[in-house]
Amino acid sequence: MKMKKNVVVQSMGYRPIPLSQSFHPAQWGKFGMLGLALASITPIAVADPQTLGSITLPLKSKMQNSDNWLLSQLRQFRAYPYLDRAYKRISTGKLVEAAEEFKNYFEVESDDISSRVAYLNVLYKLKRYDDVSRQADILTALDPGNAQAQLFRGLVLEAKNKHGEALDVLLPLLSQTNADAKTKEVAAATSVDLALTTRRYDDAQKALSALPQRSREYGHLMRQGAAFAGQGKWAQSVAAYEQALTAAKTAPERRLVRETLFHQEKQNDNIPGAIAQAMAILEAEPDNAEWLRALAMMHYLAHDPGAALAVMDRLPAGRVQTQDAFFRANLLLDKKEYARALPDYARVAEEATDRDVKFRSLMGLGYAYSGLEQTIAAREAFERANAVQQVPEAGKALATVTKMLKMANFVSVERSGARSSLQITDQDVTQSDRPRRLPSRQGGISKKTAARPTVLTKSPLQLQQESLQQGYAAISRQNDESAVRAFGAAVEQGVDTVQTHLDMAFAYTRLKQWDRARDSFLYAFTLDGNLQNRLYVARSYVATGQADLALQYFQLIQPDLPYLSQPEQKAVLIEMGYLYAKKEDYELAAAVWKASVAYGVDAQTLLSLGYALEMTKRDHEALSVLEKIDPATLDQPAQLRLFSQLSRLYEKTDNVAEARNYMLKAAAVEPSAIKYYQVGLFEQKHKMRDASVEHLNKAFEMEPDNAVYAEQLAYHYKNNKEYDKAAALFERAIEKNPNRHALFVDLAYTYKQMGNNDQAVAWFKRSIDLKYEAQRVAGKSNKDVPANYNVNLTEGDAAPQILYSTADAVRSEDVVQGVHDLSMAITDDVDHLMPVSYQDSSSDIIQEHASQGLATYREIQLAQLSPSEDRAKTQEDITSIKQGQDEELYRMRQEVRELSRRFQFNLYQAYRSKSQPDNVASTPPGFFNSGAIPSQGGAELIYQPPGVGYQDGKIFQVFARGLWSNEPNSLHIAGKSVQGSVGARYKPLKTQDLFVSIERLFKIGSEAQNDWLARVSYAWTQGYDIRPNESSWNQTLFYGDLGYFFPNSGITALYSEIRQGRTFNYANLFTVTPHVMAAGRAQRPDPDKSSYAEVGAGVAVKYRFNENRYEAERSSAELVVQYRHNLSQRRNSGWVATAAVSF
Amino acid sequence: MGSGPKFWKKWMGGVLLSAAMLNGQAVSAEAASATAGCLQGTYIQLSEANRHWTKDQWKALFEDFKKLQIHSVVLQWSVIDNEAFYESRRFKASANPVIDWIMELAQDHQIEVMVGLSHQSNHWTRIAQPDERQGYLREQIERVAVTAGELAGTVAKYRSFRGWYISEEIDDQNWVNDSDNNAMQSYLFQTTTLLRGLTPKAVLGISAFANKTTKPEELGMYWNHMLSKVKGLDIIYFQDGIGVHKLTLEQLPAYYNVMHRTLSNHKRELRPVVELFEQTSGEPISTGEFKAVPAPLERVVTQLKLAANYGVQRIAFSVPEYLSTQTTADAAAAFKEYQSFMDQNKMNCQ
Repeated sequence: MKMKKNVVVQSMGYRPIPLSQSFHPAQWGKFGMLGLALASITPIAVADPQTLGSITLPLKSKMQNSDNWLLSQLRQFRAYPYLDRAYKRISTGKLVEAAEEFKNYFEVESDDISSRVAYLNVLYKLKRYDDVSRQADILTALDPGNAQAQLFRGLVLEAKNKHGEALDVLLPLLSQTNADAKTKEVAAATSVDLALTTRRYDDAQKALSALPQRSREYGHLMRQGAAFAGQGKWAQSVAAYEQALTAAKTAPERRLVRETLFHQEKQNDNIPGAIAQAMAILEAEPDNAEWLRALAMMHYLAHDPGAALAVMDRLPAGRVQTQDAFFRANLLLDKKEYARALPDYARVAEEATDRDVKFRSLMGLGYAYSGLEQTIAAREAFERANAVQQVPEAGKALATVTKMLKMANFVSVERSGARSSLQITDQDVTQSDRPRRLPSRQGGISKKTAARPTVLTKSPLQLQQESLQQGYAAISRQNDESAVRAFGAAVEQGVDTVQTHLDMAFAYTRLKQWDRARDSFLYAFTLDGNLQNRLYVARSYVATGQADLALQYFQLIQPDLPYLSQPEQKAVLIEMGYLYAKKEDYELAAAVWKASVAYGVDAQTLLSLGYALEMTKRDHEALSVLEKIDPATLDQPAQLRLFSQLSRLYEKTDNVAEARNYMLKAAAVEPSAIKYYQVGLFEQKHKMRDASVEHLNKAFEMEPDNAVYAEQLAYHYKNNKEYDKAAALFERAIEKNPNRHALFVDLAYTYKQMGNNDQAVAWFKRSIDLKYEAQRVAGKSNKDVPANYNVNLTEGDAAPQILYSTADAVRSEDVVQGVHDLSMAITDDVDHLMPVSYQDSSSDIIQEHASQGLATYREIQLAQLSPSEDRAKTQEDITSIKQGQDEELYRMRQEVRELSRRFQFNLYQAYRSKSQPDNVASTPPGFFNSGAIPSQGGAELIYQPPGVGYQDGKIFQVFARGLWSNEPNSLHIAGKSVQGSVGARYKPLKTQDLFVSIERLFKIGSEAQNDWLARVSYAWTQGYDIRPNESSWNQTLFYGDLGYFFPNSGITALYSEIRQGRTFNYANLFTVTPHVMAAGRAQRPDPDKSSYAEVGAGVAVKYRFNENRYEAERSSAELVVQYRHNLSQRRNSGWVATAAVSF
Repeated sequence: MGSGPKFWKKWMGGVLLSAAMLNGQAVSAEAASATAGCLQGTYIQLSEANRHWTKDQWKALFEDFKKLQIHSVVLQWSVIDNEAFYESRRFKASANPVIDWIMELAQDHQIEVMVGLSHQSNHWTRIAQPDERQGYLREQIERVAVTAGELAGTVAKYRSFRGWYISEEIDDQNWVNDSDNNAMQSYLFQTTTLLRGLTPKAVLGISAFANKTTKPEELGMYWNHMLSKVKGLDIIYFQDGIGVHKLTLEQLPAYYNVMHRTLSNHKRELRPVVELFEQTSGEPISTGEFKAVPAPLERVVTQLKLAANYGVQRIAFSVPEYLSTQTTADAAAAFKEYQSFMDQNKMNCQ
């Protein structure tokens, strides 16, 4: 019975949720009830010695044998003592000895039927069932059809639990004619119980009917009730039990009847009847826990959980078992008393060893927490339940509560007015959830946390839950730092769920801790590599700027791409395109953007696609794509990008007119200075000067304070030789940009070109000062000189505005709305995630444009910033740097020197080892315009007047000089040879060292002459000037001097010299130039045969000095030693040494 | 007990083996099994020269592998600097499809291949600078992503593809402080997660080594921490460091032992890497270029038998350079000597 009750209790406790679906009366089973009944009445029916003792013992008179009488008497005489002792032993309860006596007796007298029946009885009582069976067989052999032998055979089978066989043996006895009444009664009573046990209720009824005069007895009525119940005759059954209740004489009997009736009523779905029976039992035993549980259950089945709860509450505290707690928790849950249910569920979850119970209790815990709106705890409970048993119910509950939780986050953040950057997606929250859930959220998580029941102890689970709740409470307070700490603690405490990692990732994202957010997303991905998590990871890699990794995860999405909505699919493809573009894989970028177009054409994607096609040099395809875009569908920035791209592409495809057309369209869309500036540059590049100046002027007029426009226009005027305008604009640009060195230089050159030497020198000096200062600041590193020739496209300038901005492309247009929507999965503010990264990528692209698409414009500016003629002039020195000065600085100092020169004094003296036969000196190396008049020494004073003396490279000088020869093999000046002269020379070309001069020769020595000399001289050098900080270089020198002496001598003389050497530089002070040379002089007429031709080799050593801050070396001293071999026979070969000094 | 001396010998072998593992002492030759001298695998460290190898040369190398009964190859890298040994979009592609050939030949010879990813030749100089380490890893993981992304489709189609080999070698000195250690953990976590995502069935391995200045228990703690954080690594290839003199034969067992124990605790596999060479110049023994010659057979056999106590698969570093007929005369001589050793001992390494 107890076992059966346990079954009942288990059913009570383990019933599934919802309660109404379980605990069906059928579970109790009619057999359970029968077992209960039989267990209580079985002792009555068992054949026992008392019963059997009444069986008629064998009579001595009945002893018969076929032997003759004498022998029979002798056997009786011999056997009787045994028999007598056997009965005596039976009467004294010594059954073993009795059995022994019977045995001895039957060895003498084997045919005594009656005694053998007694022997069977004794053996049966001794439970020697095998002996009983053998003796029953012997008896049957002696007396075929012996009823008692059959009875005992039946009893033995019953004793051996062979109930069916026993019943089969016993039932025939009930109708056997030779069976006595007592045997039949025992057989019937035994058969009743056996029939009930074996559920042969008809046989039970048959056996019951064979029992005489017992119908009003308690035991009989109980069996009657059981038999009727077994036959499904419920009314008769209850009636029989009720009669049994009346017939019962003791409390236990009445209790047993009520228990039986309780089960009977319950089985009949008569719950009130069952309740009545249970209450009757509890009246006698008010603290009986088992019956309290049973009554509570009946109340529950009667849909009265309140009554059930009241009964359960009557359970003594010490008697509340796990199952009771579980049942009570279920009742409380049913009554929505969630807070009271929590401790019971928690207890069961902790104590339950059965997997199903643990699962159910955790589910209940989850529901209770849900009811209390403690969603985090609820989710945790469901997760645990799901971990115990993965059944749809748990998964569904988990999904539901997760939704609720997400909703809670959404609401809490939304309510606070803050939109996190990686917040929950709307797609995870169904629209139908919102209105239903929103009103119930008012308490907030933290408030509910305070209301949590305190019955739970601080188990690891609780610690985890607390950490999680702290995390979510922190989120609700917008304290993400606390949130990540709390979530981190939860993870450390063993929480390793997808949602926790995601929650932490979102918090990190809001904190812009992208690397940590990424790792958290990755943890979630490792737990569940679903599509959404792959997207999260991909986008977190976008956020961390790791495009290749992002691409890998986007590619992992590809197989499942069809599971996304079409806008989402498109968005993913667009995102991938930007990533490919960032990695400069424009082929793939174009491919995915092209694929995205299949989901719907939109202008933004076409713009991107056009760009990618352009980058892959598919200009015509790009044009065809971009031409499909209706500009009217674009906003202004996008229109500008479109026109800019189209202009660029048309220019690349040599359709200048169309390119200009789109530039003008861009200017029409945005009539800004920058646009006109760009048009002007474009026109300038394509030689449309008038249009160019018009647009450049327009840009400048619109923004007169823009130094770039002023500068650009200045260069335009400068190139157009409108120096006044250029200088004014340069000065204006310098006002706006006083550190821009190039402007100073070019202004100086402009003044130089104007012939305004004073202004030129002044600006060169300011430029030199600026250069020195820049070098000082930069530690003499010229790389940081502020005034560089890179066009400084600062704020508001061209490149950032006109260039294609992928970030802008992402933000606008319908297509990108898809990106935005999808990004909401990880951020509710797409600007915080994607644009950040794509800004980076777009800036890269901008850089690329700057270096490619706009390179042409920049080249123009570069070319214009440095005047071409100046650049050309100094090209050979462009790499030179002298002691920390760059070549430009040195060149400027040279300019200052030349511009400010007034006087110059030259002196030279040559010595030749072997005098010439005619004692006429050779011309020394071609310095100082000395070639036309042969001499060995000379001195010259030059004056260069201000203004006319130097005009943008054109030079006018007046001079006075004396020339002489020396005595043979001596340095003594031969007085008779001294020749004086005064004259003027002019250098008419800016870039060529061509001088024309006229001078009056006057006689000083006796052999000198009075005459006029008209000359043309020309010099071309390469590597003649010093190259500071360069160790050596080639030097080539050509000098030609043609003179005509008139009117007296009428001589025309030509001197020419060419030299080729290698110059070595020592400390930027000395240069040494070994060289070979050829020189010759011819004159007509030449009566003295003074024409000659020489070749030779030598070395020139030059020392430069007399420099200052603004001027390069004004002075030099040079020694040239050569061996000259005369090619004409009239002259001697020999060494020639020439020293020259210039101040 | 009934099998007498045979049982006794076996039992003693077990005792010795256990003792060696517990005490970190070298196991005696007698205790080692008959296959203790076997090589199960080798590294292939692709070089510029390999870029120009013909397929016949690769076939010959794999024939050498077959003779050595090698059934596992670790391809140390597939990309070095910006040059790939396969058809690559991002890196400079090789003229010959080297990786394909290796995978194909391995498949033909029933050899499994761990495919290495990306390596930068300035790896050691960069990570030697603390300021460079984290940036280097950040750069490197992008390279790994590209390499794996490009290779996954190619190599996974071969039956010989066993998994990925992460080309970084984890030493015991550069990644010790918290910041660097976290960076390395994050790197490995990201890398293994990506590789698992690309090829879910692939196993993932990485190499490690120790310097004698690090105590074995410190090394164990380091790896215990690392493996508790990085769950995606399946195999650790632990270099014995004998050839480069990082460890001695006397010191090595203690390091093997602690690595074996640590990895076992984390259910990861230890594959000892046996250095087949003897370094003759280069850091740290001299300032010149790294040079090495094949190590004496006796030493190599000792290394192999020692390694046999701790790993089922012993991986050579490396057969192509130091134990094959395909590179140098010294390597060919070493190959011949080792073949004789295998024949004399009737070694069956399968």
